Amino acid sequence: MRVSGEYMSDWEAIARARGITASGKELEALLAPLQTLETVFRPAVRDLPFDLNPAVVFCPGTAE
Amino acid sequence: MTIREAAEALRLRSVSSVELTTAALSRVDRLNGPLCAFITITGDAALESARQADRELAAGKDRGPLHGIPIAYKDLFLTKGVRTTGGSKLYENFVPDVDAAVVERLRDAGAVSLGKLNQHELAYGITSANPHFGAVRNPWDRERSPGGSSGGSGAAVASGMVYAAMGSDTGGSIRIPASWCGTVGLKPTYGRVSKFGTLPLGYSLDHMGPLARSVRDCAAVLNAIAGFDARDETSSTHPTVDYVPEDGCSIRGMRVGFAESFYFDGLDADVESSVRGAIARAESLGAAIVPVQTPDIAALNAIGQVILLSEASAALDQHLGDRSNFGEDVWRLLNQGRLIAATDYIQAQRLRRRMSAEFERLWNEVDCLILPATPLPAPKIGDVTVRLAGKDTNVRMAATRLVRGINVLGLPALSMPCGLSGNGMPVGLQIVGPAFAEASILNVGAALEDGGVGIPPCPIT
Repeated sequence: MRVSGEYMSDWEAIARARGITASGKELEALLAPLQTLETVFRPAVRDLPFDLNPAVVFCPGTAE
Repeated sequence: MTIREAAEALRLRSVSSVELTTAALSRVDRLNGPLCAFITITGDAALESARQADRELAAGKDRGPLHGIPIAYKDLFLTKGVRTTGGSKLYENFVPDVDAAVVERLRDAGAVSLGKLNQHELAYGITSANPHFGAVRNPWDRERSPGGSSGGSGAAVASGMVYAAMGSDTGGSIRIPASWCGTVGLKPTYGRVSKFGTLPLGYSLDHMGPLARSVRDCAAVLNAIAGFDARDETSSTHPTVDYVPEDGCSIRGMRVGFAESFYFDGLDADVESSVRGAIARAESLGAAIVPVQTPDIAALNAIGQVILLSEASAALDQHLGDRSNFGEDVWRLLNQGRLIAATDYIQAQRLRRRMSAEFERLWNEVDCLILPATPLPAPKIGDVTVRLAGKDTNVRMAATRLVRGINVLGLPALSMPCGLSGNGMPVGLQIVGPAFAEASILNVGAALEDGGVGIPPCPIT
């Protein structure tokens, strides 16, 4: 799905695929915040340079 | 009385630790019913620790400013032999066989633990209306929320049950209760205080820190708990300093950032006027107020949400098969986290690095930021929405809006009271600084406190 030129997640389909059985208002309460989050998060991802590492990286030799 | 004053009285022998502890326990006995701040009270052990503290002081062994001072821990700090619930049904019978690093360090500093404090279930929320251990109530108005997730810590300090309490902050959970309960609260830099022996919520967002009655008291606790711990692989080797601001400390010539855009949008009018008043006071004390433009804080908050949703659901994944283990709000958040794609978690961690670099540049312009801590004073318990600047707003989203991003950046932030609202509830500001600049932001806080920024003690008796 695309909204305003951005790829947007289909949260209801993802919830079904993850085996979440909620329906109606309960499902809406679960998914509405994700939809809102997506509208801010998705555009921010757009221009990330390919060589930018995530803030969480594995450091060999420091594991327990 | 502050820790500093109590410490002085202990050394003058005008009071003993047993007397301080007995008085504190008596206050807990009287107020814990209505406030529901403690989950577990360890009165006998506290009195034994207090007797030991008195014997040591009498013998000339002085462990420092926390020696003999009554404190308490949010119930996600592991305590050897004392139940640690995390405010959750999952851990209702969990009795650890180790102490958290913070507990060890505070015991070594001579602090006397009165027990374990109530919190939002699993530290995953901001109301501290705990479905398993009861709703914590705000000592300023028992119909109102103390904030959270360290709500018991805020209520216990504000009501005078303890001199300081330990809390944790994953998306504002020290600063929100500090703001709503009218206490000081410090979220140190990520890695400054060991997380060893704490129940995790957001692995890369969790910070441990104190709530106390004054800025210098928070600094005294930080002195005891800061420093490298090899058992916590996120612990920093950055050197520690003496964090307690000197008497007569000054902010003359400091550059204080005024980030009007975003941080002053949609505020309750009393919050806005109190925080602007504190900034004006900083200027009158000699600080230069510098208007600044921060990076996109709405995007920063979204990054924080994606990271927290993912990490919390991973942390609790093994328990998600049984809905009866969780309150409704936490269950919903944990299910939301199950839906976030791994790619989005990684993207959020990449965006985090970029945002961190953008914020770094801000510190070339200013030494700290003074911002509101929460856009509203404490709402009524049970309120789901509040009206802010003419708009109905979700309480949780409103409460975390100004604090969450700072966890993503891992920066130190000090929340302190700066006024009372029209209905008599505390209003808090936060001072944010560069990584490991705790001494600097505590200095700003102490100068403001000395300069009259603050509120009277909570009137609860």
